[in-house]
Amino acid sequence: MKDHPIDRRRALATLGALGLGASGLTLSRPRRAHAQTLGQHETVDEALKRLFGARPLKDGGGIVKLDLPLIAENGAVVPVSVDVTSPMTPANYVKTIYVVADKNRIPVVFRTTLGPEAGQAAIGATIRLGETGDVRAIVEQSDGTLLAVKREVKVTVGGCGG
Amino acid sequence: MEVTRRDLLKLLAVAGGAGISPRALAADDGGRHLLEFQALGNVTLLHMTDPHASLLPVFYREPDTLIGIGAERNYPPFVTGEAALRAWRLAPGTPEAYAYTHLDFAELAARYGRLGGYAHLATLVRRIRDERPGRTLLLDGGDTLQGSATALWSRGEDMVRAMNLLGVEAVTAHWEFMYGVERVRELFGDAEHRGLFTGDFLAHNVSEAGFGDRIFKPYTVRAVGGVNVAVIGQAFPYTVVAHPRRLVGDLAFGIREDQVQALVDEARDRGKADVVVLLSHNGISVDLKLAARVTGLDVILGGHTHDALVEPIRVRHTLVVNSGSHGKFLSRLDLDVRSGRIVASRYRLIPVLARLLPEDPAMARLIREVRSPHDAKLTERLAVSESLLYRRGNFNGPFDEVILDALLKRADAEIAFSPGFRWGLTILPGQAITLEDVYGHTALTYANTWTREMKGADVHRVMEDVADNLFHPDPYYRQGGDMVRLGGVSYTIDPAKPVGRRITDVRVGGRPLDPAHRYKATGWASLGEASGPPAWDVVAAHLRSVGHLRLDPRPRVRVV
Repeated sequence: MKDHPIDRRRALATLGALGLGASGLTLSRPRRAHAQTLGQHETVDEALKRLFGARPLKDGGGIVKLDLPLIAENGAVVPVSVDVTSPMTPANYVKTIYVVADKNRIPVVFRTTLGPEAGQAAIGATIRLGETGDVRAIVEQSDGTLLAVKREVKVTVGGCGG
Repeated sequence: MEVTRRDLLKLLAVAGGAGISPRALAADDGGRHLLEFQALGNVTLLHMTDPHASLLPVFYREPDTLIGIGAERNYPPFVTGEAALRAWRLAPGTPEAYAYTHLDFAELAARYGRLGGYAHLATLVRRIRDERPGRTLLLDGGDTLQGSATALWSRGEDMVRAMNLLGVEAVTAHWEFMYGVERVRELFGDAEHRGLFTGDFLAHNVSEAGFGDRIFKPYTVRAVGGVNVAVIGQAFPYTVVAHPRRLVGDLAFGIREDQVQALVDEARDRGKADVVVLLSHNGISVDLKLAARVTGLDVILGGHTHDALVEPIRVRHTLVVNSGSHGKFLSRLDLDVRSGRIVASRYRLIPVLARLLPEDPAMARLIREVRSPHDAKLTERLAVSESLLYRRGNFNGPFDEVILDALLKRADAEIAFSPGFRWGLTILPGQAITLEDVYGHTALTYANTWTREMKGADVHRVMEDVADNLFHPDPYYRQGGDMVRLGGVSYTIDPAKPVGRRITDVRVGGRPLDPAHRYKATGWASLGEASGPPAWDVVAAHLRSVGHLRLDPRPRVRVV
């Protein structure tokens, strides 16, 4: 779905009133009354191409542990942690951890630079998610290898029945 | 219930037509055999869940439509009707068919009567405790404080008193939180303090949203029949998403699989547990997935999705039990535990056949005490229904249609929304609908109605979102509940499709939904603010004006 800021804002207002969920979601939404000038508006494919060019992204399953809720309780504050199994020695360490939210207007949420002096490659943060989509952790190791994992996070209108 | 003699004769005639032979009727013991149980081993776990404040015996029709996704499809619990009879090897027209399926519901209800009720349940529990002294543990999976007028008006207190009298030893929660976390603390206590409840309130997966401090006791270890039984409490993981943030906004929940594993290990190592039980409000599909991914869990006693699982499902070494809802059933799981291992087990989902279980006098007294100040109001007869009315099922049920009709009429709207709740009792043909019955379908702390304009595209988006919460291929993304109920609308759904592509051919008043058109919409149970009158007033006013209700089938959902 292509994002039209105005339509989406109106849709969210409707959902909030409808109340099948969304009060938190409405609050959580970055205000779009004025076009945001800071930050790189791009698609996730453009972002990955810009950051990594044609370099291959290997499957980081088993090495990179990405933890975040499956259904966001509040899209404005979604806790995320990335934990990478790495010796963190000068010869072999994790250099950078990126967190990318595919559906955010600015998909590259943050990048963290690490060195062997960190002792371990583990970070935690709170991020903001606009809507349901994949969140990826991409790890660049000191030898230049890129490892990626992802997980779908649902930002729902909520309401339930059980 | 108001069933006249003529109605009864009619029902029996239908029963004859439904293939229930007169001989089977003669040999019928009314279900007595279901109350007998050959004891086994040293531990008896008694489990009830999702009673939804049903203090009195109930009619509650199990669903006719319950769709499983992918590998779940057509396997228990995703079997209904004839398929359920085949899966569980049951005969039609029996007390089992009545309790466990929707088949011939009105006819069999007339024959076997209501199920559940705390006074009858108390008698059954006492009998089992007398038979197995020191060997029983009674656990309640939660959704106990919501679903009746008296529970709403006493903000859950009447139910906690009933739980105490019943002797519930541990409980976990979901709808309890609709009264706000402070009320939950008052009634149930927390990790440091006791509340009104005399047992343990267990919820390892509830913490403060900011620093993540755990609020409630995560588990308890009880000596039962000479062995240690650990019970870990798992509250409904998506409580925050499912209810207004003003009630639960400062809390974080979640499935927390790693934490479950850590607590299982801790209970075995530090708690010296021989048996580890998860008292879960996950919903059955989440229970089954969790059982496959956590090691060392012996038993999951589950609720939330109201599945009346006739036999446990074994996942690797874990027995998964789900015990229905509304007090219809008491699960009894006998375990033979030797050297820290379960060597044998025996189970029954016992239908609490009220006719065969005399009331426990103390519980009956408490129930009278709770109800008597409100008796005149509760028993007001609003209308008589010619039709069978129920809510449970994946899509609109006839009681939903009554609510939707009431909403559409009041707001003069084109589209009405009502949540796909799985609670709410069944009304038999010929039965009077009382104000209490209406509260039984609407008793929320956020029951206000709303009316506003809504774009066709947004209507479709809401439908897709709710369908994804019900039919996501990964159970961990499901919230439970059924499809949102829609009035004035018909549609086609393909549950196996991905989100955004399940719902097609949406029609409003028979005409295709126009994404750009603004429709007049109405609904209730908003998670945001809503200022219209509460749903019970709207529905009661509608029923009073109708007087006599007849609902012909409305084919508004086509499933492909």
